Amino acid sequence: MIDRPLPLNPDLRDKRRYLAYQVLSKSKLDQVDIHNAVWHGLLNFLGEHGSAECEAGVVKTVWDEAKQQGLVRCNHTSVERVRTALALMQRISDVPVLVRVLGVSGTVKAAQRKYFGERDLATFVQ
Amino acid sequence: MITIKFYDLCLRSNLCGGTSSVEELARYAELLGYSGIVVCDVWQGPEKLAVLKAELARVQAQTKVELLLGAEIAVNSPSELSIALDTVRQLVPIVAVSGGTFAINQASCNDPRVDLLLHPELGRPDPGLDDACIAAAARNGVSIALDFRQVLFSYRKQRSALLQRMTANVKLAIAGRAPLVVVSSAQSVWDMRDPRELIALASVLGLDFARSFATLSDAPARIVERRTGKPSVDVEHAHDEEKPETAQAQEPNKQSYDAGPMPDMAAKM
Repeated sequence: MIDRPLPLNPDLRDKRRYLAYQVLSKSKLDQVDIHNAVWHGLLNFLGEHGSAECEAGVVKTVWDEAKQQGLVRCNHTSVERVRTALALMQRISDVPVLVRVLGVSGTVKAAQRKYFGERDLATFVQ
Repeated sequence: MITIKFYDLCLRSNLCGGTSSVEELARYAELLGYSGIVVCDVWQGPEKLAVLKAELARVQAQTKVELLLGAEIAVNSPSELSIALDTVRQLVPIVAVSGGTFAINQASCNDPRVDLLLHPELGRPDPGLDDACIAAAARNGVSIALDFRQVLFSYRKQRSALLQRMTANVKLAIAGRAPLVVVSSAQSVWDMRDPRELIALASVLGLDFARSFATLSDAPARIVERRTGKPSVDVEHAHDEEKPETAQAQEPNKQSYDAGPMPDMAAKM
């Protein structure tokens, strides 16, 4: 027995977008610090209500430690606002940073394939 | 495949208060996908300008990004502005004026020798421009610059007020058909941002998608073309051109948005 409701119908769901971002910095940063800073940046620029409207959130399960790349989720109408919020981050743990969005994707899987270099079985065989 | 040239018309080097050298700025501009940058140090006389010009010529040989010489004029009165313009206009291709006071904003909009009016809303309770200024700017080809750095280094109440005033200027510029550009005004490589991020800011400030793109590609390219005489990219017809697959590899500073993951820049630093 699964203790959760059924997922919403597709017509009731918002279209989600996943922004793959990269943090460039002089020294290596901790993943937790970056995720906290991204949340802080989103709340700073969009506000609590704005973040809720944008359905903004940090996808903690997808993270590339070597390249300092991660994913941020939002709905399809708020991509530009979330992109601006990320661009307005300037310091993480007192280290100057340059945050850039690598691209936007419709699913986590596609984002992992396009921006994190992950391969599925079909591409692996090729 | 869409290929558009992006220009950042105002960067400041370590020769004038910045913290990054021209070489570093050029390297990051290339990595971020700019086609050209204008190093726009504050005007301090022809000696300083000569040093910057020599540095630009030296770095230009090592990079594919087009490096242009600019000067930012920061003065307190319209008469001083006019005197400074008499000299500066003949020496540099791109002339920016640091706005803020209404008299300077007004004088800049009315002078065709000015290319950019930077942050007209800086330190003011109002947008710093009116209909008459915008009409003059449109007539004289003076671009109103949206300064990313002002937004980057402001917080909460101050940033909110700044965004309100910038939005008002955007509305005025759209109504008066004055050219708008977004500049990073970066004083260090860490203040620089990807062109697409600056376009997102323009979009947040109320411009539609096509106009947002034009603030970093079409409008700056026109200024560069007008002042240097070099032809700029034809953005409107870039979609129609059938380019071979290898074109992207030959010209890495032309950015493509379906190019997949970007190179690991952290490793190159």
